Amino acid sequence: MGNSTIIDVLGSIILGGYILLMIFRLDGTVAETTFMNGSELTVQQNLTTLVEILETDFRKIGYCADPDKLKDPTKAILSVNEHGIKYLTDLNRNGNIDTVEYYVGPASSLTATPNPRDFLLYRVINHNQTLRFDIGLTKFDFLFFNSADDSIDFPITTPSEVYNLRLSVLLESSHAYDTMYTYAYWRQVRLAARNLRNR
Amino acid sequence: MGKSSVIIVMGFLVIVGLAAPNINRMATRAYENFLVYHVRTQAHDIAVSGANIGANAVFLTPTWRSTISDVAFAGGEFTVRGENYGGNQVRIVSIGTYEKRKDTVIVILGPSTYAKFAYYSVVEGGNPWVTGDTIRGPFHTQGKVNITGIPVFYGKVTTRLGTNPKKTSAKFYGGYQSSVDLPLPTDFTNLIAAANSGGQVLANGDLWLKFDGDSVGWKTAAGDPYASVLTSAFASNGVIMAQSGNVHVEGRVSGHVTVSALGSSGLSKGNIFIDDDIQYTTDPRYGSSNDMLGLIANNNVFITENAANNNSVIIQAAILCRTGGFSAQNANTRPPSGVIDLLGGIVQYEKSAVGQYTISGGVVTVVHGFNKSYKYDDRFMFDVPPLYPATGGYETMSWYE
Repeated sequence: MGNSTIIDVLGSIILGGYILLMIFRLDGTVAETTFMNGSELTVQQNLTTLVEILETDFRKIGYCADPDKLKDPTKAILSVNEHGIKYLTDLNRNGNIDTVEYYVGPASSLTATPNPRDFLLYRVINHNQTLRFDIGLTKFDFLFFNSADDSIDFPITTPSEVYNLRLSVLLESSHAYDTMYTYAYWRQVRLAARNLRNR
Repeated sequence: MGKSSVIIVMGFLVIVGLAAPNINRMATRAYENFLVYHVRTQAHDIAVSGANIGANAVFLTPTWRSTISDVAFAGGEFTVRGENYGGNQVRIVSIGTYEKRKDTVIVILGPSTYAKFAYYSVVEGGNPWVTGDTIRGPFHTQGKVNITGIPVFYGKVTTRLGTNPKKTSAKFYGGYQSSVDLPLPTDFTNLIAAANSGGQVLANGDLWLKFDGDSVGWKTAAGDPYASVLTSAFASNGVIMAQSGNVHVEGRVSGHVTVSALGSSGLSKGNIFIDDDIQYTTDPRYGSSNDMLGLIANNNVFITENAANNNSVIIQAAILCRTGGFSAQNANTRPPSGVIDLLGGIVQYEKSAVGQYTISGGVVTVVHGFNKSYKYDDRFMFDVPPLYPATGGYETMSWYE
């Protein structure tokens, strides 16, 4: 009887410990999965929101409700580089030309998030209305193409040569689980601003 | 022990049961997130396709003003309509629908005129465009563009027959398209009608015009004095024509004016001679200017060989030569005459000479005639001199999406 009680107790301890370990592991797995899924959802929502803004803006390069004010749309792009673009458009369809600029800040300027790679994206309207995107951007790369669909080497000194653009965007979560950051990637293979081809 | 195990297992199941849907929900929402993006993109693409189809309808039938409704397309549908929009423009409105999501694309098309070309020719001749040549504004030729080296074209280049050689190093910054057939007008019916109704027509003989701001001096014989009159009174619609003769021009032009010389005979009719600087009262490069001149010749536009033109000439106009070209009179024998400072565009049947040159060690020396400094007046993209011939087609003025 004594022996069997001891065996029961030991068995219970082993079994209970095993179950507890399972519970702890499950708890960890659930926490990780929940964090990663939630984080991924946030990243993806941020990405689609950003992409929606970018597509809407870039498709309007060279557009003006009053075409007389932007006679030569090929001059609509003022400057470009690997991570930025400055161009003319009519954002509000009111017939007035707006200057829109996108550029990124250095990763070192965004110290509020644990992610060491993310940086800020700036959208500046008419040199004074600045919108900052602090959404875990870790890649915002342009590639520009001429009318023959050949990529143009940087630095681009003749922005009017630009006919199409490719934009690659990578977003990462600002916080990691362990050292894992969730991410979402988007690339517009060819974004053609139709007004660049007018006339 | 048995009860405890059951309780633990039940608790285990409850935890999993609570966590799993939450995890699944987030995964589903992430998927839905991109589904929404897909639907939006698809609706947009369908609207763009509808706009292209509407624009093509206007391209094929310039009078098309109609509606194409509820066309099934790429899993959705579009409705596109063409409607008149001020100033002879056409507006195309395309609405794309996909999964109840709608997107709209609005395109404004405007009549296309020959004035928009910085350079146009039917016959290019043997002279190639070479390294160092920079052409701004739209370019078209019915022939082949002969290219040597790396000329730079900033505007859109269209040709009927392509380039020679077929593969070139030329820079077509504004785009390039071949197989575009755009012949010169066969007559000037509308221009003649306008000149006879609100304009000024000299039925026979030559006409001399000396513009001086709002006024114009005119005469019909070289030795006569000029009679000065307000341009608006002389030709209220701005169209001045020698219907069977040559026209000589010089001076400073105010407002919109078109000068034309018709008649089919070689040098005695249908030519415009630029006797001295012909320029705008207000230069559009240095401020807003409403001054705009069209020089339309059935045959040629010449820079007259005379004392006034032997030390450079300023020309500000949209030039059209239906059967000839823009050239310097006696280009191969006249003395070196400075620079042609042209602001405008040249539309001509054939590329013609304004001088004769030697090239040694990459240095171009003018033996006879002029050096060239041609600049495109981009106002001609939207505004043109009165009754400047239209191509009959439309072009995109703005594309909203």
